[in-house]
Amino acid sequence: MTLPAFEYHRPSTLSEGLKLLKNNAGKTRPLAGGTDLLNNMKVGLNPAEVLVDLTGIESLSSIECAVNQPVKVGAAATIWDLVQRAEVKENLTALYQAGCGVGAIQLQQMGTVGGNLCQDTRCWFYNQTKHWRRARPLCYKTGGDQCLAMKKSERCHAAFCSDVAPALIAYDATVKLSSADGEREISLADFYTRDGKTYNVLQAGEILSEITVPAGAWQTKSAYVKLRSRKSIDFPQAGVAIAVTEEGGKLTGGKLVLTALGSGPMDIKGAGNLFKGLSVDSLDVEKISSLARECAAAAANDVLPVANMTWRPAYRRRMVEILIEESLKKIFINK
Amino acid sequence: MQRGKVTGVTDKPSEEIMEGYSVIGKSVPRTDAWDKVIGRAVYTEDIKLPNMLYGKILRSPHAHARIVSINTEKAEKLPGVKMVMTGKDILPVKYGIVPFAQDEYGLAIDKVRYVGDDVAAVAAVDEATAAEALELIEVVYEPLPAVFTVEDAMKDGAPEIHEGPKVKNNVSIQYRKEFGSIDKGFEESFHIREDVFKTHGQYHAPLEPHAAIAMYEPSGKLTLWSSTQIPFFLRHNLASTLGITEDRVRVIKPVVGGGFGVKIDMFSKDFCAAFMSMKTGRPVKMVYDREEALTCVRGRHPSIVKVRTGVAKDGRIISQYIDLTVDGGAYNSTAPLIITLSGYFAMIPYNIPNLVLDAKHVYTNKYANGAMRGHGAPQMRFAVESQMDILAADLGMDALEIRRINALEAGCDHPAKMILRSCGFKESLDLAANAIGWKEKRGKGNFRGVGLGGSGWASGVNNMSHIGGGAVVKLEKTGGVTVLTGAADIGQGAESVIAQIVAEELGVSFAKVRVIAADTDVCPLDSGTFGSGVTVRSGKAAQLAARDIKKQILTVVAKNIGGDPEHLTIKDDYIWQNGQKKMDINKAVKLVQYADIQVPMIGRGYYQLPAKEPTTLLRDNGDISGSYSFGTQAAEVEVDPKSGRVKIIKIVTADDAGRALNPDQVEGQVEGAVMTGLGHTLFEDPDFDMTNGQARSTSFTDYKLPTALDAPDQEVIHIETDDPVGPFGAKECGEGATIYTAPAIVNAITDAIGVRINDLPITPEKILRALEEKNNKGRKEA
Repeated sequence: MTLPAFEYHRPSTLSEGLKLLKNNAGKTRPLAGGTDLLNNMKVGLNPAEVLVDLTGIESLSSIECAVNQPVKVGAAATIWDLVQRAEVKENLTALYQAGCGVGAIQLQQMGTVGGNLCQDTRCWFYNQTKHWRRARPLCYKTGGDQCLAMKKSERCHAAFCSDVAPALIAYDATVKLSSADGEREISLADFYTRDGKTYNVLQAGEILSEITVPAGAWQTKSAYVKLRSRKSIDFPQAGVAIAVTEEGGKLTGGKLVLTALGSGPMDIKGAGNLFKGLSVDSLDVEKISSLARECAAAAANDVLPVANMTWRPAYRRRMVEILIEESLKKIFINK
Repeated sequence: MQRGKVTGVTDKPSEEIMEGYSVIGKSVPRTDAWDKVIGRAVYTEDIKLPNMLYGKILRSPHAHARIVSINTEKAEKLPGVKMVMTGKDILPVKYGIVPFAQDEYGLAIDKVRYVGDDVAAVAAVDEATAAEALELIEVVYEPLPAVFTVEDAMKDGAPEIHEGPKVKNNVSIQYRKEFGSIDKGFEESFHIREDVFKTHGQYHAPLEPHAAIAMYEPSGKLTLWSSTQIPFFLRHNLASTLGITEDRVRVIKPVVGGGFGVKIDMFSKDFCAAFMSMKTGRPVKMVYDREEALTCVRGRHPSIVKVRTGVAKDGRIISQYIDLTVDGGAYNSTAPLIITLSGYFAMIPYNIPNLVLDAKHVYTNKYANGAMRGHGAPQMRFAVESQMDILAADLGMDALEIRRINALEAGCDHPAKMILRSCGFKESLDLAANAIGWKEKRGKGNFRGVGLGGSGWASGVNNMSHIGGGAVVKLEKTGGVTVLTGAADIGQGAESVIAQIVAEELGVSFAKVRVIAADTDVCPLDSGTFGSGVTVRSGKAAQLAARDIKKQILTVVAKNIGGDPEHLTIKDDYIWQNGQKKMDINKAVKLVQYADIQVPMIGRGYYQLPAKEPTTLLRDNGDISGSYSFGTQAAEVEVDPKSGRVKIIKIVTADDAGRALNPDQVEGQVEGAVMTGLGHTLFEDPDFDMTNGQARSTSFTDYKLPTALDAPDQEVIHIETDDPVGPFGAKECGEGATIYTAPAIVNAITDAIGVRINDLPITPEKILRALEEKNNKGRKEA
């Protein structure tokens, strides 16, 4: 499979890049690691006449990372460069585990943090060659008026399969969105729409330029666990990130974020209260099991897998509790 | 690699023979290793010819449809497009693996039979233009009802996938094999049980996708470079479908990046590249993309195997009835062979005195299935080996013991008159069981378990069109040895093994031997790479050719130095007489040249496995191969009851592949075979959408080939038998070890969770369901 022809730019400053994106709005896409975009383009998805390669912009690749300080990550920094830092590995466990869970080492070294957050949603009716898709009608995501995975649904159900996003959301990360007309900062949770077709809030000409993990993240205990068929390569078929805060032996709050179980990451609202007030010492295997069950129940309404990947929805749904339990064990027992 | 004991028919102990070998039995580095490691090896895709065009295939979006019309006008007008062809342009000559089962055209004529069927082809100045041209071809289809399961396909009134008087209810090939009397056998049985097993499809997934380059010259000569396993067979099919004689076609096999059976057939990329090169006068290259190389070629046959077995109180099998139905997909490909081979490996490795096998090959509207590593045997062995465990449990016996009691042995009077000249099966059972810790670990439950599976496999399949293997050995007076062989190395190391055989037989060092292979104009006829026959067939031919030239040399040398040529030998590059070095080989070669004998200095060899004639395959009793490998695998697994995930802790293979000519290569083959079997059992699934028969796993992202991280700890125990048929006692080792991986794993899972799953693949969901059913049952009973 060959890439279709496109015009290629590699600006060296952000303003130059944003200008290119603005001037070519509607027919351009930003390119960073290319691990998602180029694969899609090869099979006729994510059409673009102009690619603006962001990896030449030095400021986008910078990582500011010091313990107890906010972490600032340029969107074009590679996943590998971020998560292999000793500080991250030791303290921001969920982020480290999520980063190591992405594809394989080669993909972590090519793929960028921003790219991972902006990656296209996935569906077995969508991530196919043009020839394969021709055997079926168009779907919402390819310009049609139906969802092939969820007949009669009014929206696209393609799955959001980032490993990194749920971990960052669990830390309350924010993102900076930049365009030639200015910039805005929003929470990463608000960056996503939960619609498979228009899965994030980026406007034409706008890019995700920087990720900020607040200083509070350093005080959390966290874990990320993904469900995958194989120990490498695979996208998550379900994923759970948990980050909790603790004071004087008691949990003061926490977040539970799911991925690959719907069209966006799911920040489970009721989870914080379930964690709050729990004594860390009381969290033995049994207590963790029941806590996991409660968390899964709180998440039940937000878990919306459909039949669009290898493992069937019922199994993925069922595994949520198991993944939560495993995450909690990682935090409180295996450490 | 651990070495087991020596069995077999020779009375010479192996060590003694081995001491005498200089190259055989040594893990010399492969002749192609360096080129592959540094990326210099030339695959078909790497070849570029001046003025070359690029071809692409337009494929059907319908599972079953009549082609009403094809309009190629717009595509032809696209700048850069040199040719567009459809089924209307070609001779209506069908091709296929087995002459009486041929049912395929180079491009679809009138009808398409699966999503992906080949409809039209384009040749253009570059790949992008060819791809663009495909979009401009307008095809009007009249969709027809389609069927995607063998059950639906065999129903009365089911759509006819191939019309014709020979095919009823889409059953394209049917066989019945019978010996003894099963009725009497069942009457005499102490216990009878019937079970149904199902297996699913699998892709071969070689890393190199299928490719071909055709170059037609004004002289009328057509050359095709192709990623093929059988150059001579491709030449035959190409000539017949193009309507030219075979002598006008030259097929060259460049380096091939894996086959596993999926490069045996001719494909439209071969045919269309050749056809369009002949029409345009320019070379045409065609390379399948990954999706095509997975879903538009061949796969492993899904199957339904019903087994009824009657056993005596002591576990001896008395009678067996097997009903086998395989899902062939849209075309026959190897149809008669899959069910035949499946049948043969119902008769091995146990003694079944009374057997009836009813086998059917059924068309469905999915991609066609064909030969794949083990070809029919994994389906059969999964069923029978699963049932062996069930029978053992019914009788309160140990699953190892029931296998030992029924195991065939070398020299046995086989009920279907197969001839087992060497057989290390019984040893393999004990060695595999011991290595996994059978006694300590079996039956302990608690979600950890061990299981066994065993089989044999053919070292090449005989009875086939009287095509054996040929070899020519040439000597240069500067010391080089050139071997011409028709054998097709597809990555398994055939050329290296042939070089080892020639070096040993001729007594020269391995580094001196150069192999030129798989070029139909240059190399002698060979039946190619299938049925695990290359080492035994082509290797033996090379050995005979080396022996031939050796005799010529020694005759001349004997005349020169005096004495009987029979008392001379060549070893380690020297001529030896009565234990004395007499002269180096280069000098001897020079002597031969200067003797002015009026024949070229070449040795010739040809070897065909002893065949029973005429081709009767299953119907009559007799042999299918010159020798059989045997082996047992033992698996240890752990199951997580919460997630249903299976962790394979270890797989032991105790394998009788005759003498290991290159132990590292044998080990590599076995370990790879285990991964193929393990992938099929737990990971891989083409995942057919039953609404249109389309496979949903079309890339290496979604098709879950196990990765290196998923590979379990493996132990390979080699049981060296010295088989009298193969060169230096070798038997096959490429396919056998993949055949019994599934039952070993599934039997281990059953041991771990106390409940059995009879249909592959084993998914976590199935395990959870099985555990739930078991618990519910337990509750009800309580």
